[in-house]
Amino acid sequence: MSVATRPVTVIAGWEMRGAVRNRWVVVIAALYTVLAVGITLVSLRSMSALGLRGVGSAIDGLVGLAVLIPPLFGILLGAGAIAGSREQGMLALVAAQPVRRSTITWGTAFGMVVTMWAGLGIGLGLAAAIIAPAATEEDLVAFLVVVAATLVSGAVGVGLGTIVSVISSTRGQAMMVAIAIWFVAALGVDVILASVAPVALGPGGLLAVTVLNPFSAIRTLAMIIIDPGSLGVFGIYLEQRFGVAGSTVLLSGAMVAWLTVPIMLATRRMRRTDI
Amino acid sequence: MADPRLRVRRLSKGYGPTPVLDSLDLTVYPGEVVVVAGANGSGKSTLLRCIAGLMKFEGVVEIDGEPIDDANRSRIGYLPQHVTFPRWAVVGDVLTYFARLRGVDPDSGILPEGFVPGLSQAVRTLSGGQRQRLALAVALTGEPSLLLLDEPVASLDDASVPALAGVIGRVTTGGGSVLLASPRHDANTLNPDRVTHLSEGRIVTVPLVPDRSEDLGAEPLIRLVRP
Repeated sequence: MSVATRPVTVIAGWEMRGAVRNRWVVVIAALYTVLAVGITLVSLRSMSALGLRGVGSAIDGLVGLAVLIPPLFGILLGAGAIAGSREQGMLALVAAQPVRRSTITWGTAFGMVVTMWAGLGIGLGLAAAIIAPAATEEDLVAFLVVVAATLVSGAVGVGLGTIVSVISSTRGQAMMVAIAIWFVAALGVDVILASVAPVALGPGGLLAVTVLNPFSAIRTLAMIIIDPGSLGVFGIYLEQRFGVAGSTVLLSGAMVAWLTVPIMLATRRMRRTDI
Repeated sequence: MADPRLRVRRLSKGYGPTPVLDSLDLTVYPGEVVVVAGANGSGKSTLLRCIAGLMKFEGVVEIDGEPIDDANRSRIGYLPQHVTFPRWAVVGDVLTYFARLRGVDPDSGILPEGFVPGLSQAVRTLSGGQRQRLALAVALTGEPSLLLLDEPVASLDDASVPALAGVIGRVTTGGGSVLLASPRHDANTLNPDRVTHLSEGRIVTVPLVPDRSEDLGAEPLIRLVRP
């Protein structure tokens, strides 16, 4: 290979090679695959048992899964990377090379994202193969939204994990903080949104909470494209206030911010931190 | 007299309120081997890490008259005191990785045959000394003109120390400079030109070449004579 390869690609490739040998990566990729295939099969059989056709319930299930397992996958990968490298002394050796700190941060994050996408791709591919015979053209669009939601959800997780990794002093600390963030963002906020928030916050407050939690934003974005009616009163509010297109743009903007800002903050912190 | 390879001026660094390096001055010339000796915690590693660009500090560090930045850091090779390479890698992976980061060929050609373990050998099977030699090979990648070695003999067996001295000799013969951090007891094992002592955050130096002492600003404690 050419020696002139860009350092960000070199670092991403190195991180990918390390990540695929990490047992957690294999376990979570396998877990996602089992759940994606299981949800798809169970949903299709339930529909069939009721004498109905279509893959809508499978799509709904996969959207729910998209904001649960990929964020965990991503945040653990991101959290372990730089903190682990620092603990081993590898980060000092890499940072002493003629590369920018931002290259280290972005290269590491890219490597983790690609690794995670490869892991998720197996489950998504199998789910697609199961759905395909029963799917309509409309279902194809919905499935593509599921794929996008799954991949973006995981990538946001990597970004959050990366900043946790840069801030934490040890890999163990980074992993614990990462799990806590995932628990609150992927599970806790949804419980609040489903119970007290609609009454206490009102639709505007609910939108703010949704935008401020990346995984709620991803699910809302996916559902407003696939089936706005499934969002209930909140969906009606979004449609009336912004329209489907406006809501899509608003939530997509929030996703772009969630994809980039954590890694930019991690880069800024890396530049200012002693290694 | 040649222009300095490395010039450190008024370098100060602390951890929180505790100062470790206090307005430190140090100059290293082309072809010179300089040892920074000192007790544990005296700041030897901190000094090398500041020069390698791993730590923020107050003061000025220049290589060949230019402030060190991301670009000219390719002129510096750094061997940390401790490094653990990933267990999944083989020796060739590690050498290729760092060579690609520097945009150079992995084979520096400066290391003697057999100094680095076989390219296909798994990192997890290397002894402490072999890992240290691999880390030294990484530091030498791209043939840097300034080599920073943090306690390089700490993990080496007796047979490897002369080989390391030979490598350092080749570096300096080619015009390169070497700055070593080392505890006092093994400061002379690598045939230095000068041994400086780090105490209370400042350099107390021992010049081998008398007319450089004015640059170094301190009284000699020991005078070394090459055989």
